Amino acid sequence: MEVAVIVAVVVVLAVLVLGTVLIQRRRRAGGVISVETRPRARERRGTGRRT
Amino acid sequence: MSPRQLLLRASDLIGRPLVTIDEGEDVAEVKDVVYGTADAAVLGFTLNRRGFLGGPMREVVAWSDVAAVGRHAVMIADAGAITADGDLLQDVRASRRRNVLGSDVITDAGQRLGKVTDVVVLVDERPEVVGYEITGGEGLKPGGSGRVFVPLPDTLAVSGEALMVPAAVSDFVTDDLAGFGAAVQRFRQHLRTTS
Amino acid sequence: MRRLSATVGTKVMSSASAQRVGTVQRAVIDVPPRRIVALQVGRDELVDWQAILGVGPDAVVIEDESRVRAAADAREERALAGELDWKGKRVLSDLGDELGTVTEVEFDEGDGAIHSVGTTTGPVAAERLHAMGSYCLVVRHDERQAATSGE
Repeated sequence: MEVAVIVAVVVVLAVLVLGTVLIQRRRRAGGVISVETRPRARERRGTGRRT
Repeated sequence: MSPRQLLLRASDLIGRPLVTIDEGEDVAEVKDVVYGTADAAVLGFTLNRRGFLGGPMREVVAWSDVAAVGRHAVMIADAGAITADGDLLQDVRASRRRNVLGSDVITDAGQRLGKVTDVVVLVDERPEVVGYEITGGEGLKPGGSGRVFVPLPDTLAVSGEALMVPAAVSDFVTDDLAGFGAAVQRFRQHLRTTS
Repeated sequence: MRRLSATVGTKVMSSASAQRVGTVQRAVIDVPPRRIVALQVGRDELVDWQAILGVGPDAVVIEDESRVRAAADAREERALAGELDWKGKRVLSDLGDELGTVTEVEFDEGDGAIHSVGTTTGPVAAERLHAMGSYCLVVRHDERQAATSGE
């Protein structure tokens, strides 16, 4: 009986941790976003600093 | 600081720390690389907080506020470079996060070249997207690896679902990022002389 | 010129009482002005560089015990917490390239000025030091060191 309770708790915790890891990976996942460049945004690029 | 050119994959930039030059602190890390469709110019980055538990930040950093992009970090003068207002944030919101990774690449001759798995960025004074890394295309395998780099013309058409490239691009595909800068130059030269 | 790693661990003596007041645990270095501004001599105890009479191979001698003080601002507290320790700190050029980690700090025992910083990719002259934070030491880019760091 007690063993079953412990196993259940461990399983619930494992699922919670796994879920958190997966959600966090999704939240943090990066990419490459293309945006419609508006004219004023392009004018501002003239002030871009060199690397 | 001397100007220099650096050819990078977007995936190399993603996750890279933003470090303040005045304090030596890592204040954020790159989440998305943002570029404009009209001229392929890199406009800036969206940001995550540092560490695995750090989520997306409201703030972004515009390219004009980036001091340098190096091999290990994106340098900013101070923490004031990241901002929660400005043109870039509006552009990103208006775009509804249109991620290029995973998009189909189609030539103007109607051939599907494959899916974009990465984006090649030429970092200099005015960084721009100069090519795509494409996987899963048929007949585009110079090295047989199934993963190739495709140069972009100076101007390109991007919709929400696909990226259009000229059919002539097939002749300038390479599977080697080191030689890719030259391939971009040759391709653009080719487009200029034939148009 | 003295190496910081040789000074850390030496005893701290009071000139007035000839008694030991502690042991050098770490240096608080500000960039700028690229000099040691204080030494940590006990758990939460600092001695300003101005109160130090001499830094020798066997001891650091201070004026008297009354010059031992607690951290006075947030940066000093961070220094005492080890956030700003130099040894092992990542070195980053202002162009965003990593140049290894800090292995040694050489300083002038007369005025506490930093002479150079040893790194795993070679020495960095004090003039190139730009800022010190919990993440990294920012140094000005140098073509020669960039070449030797295998980039």
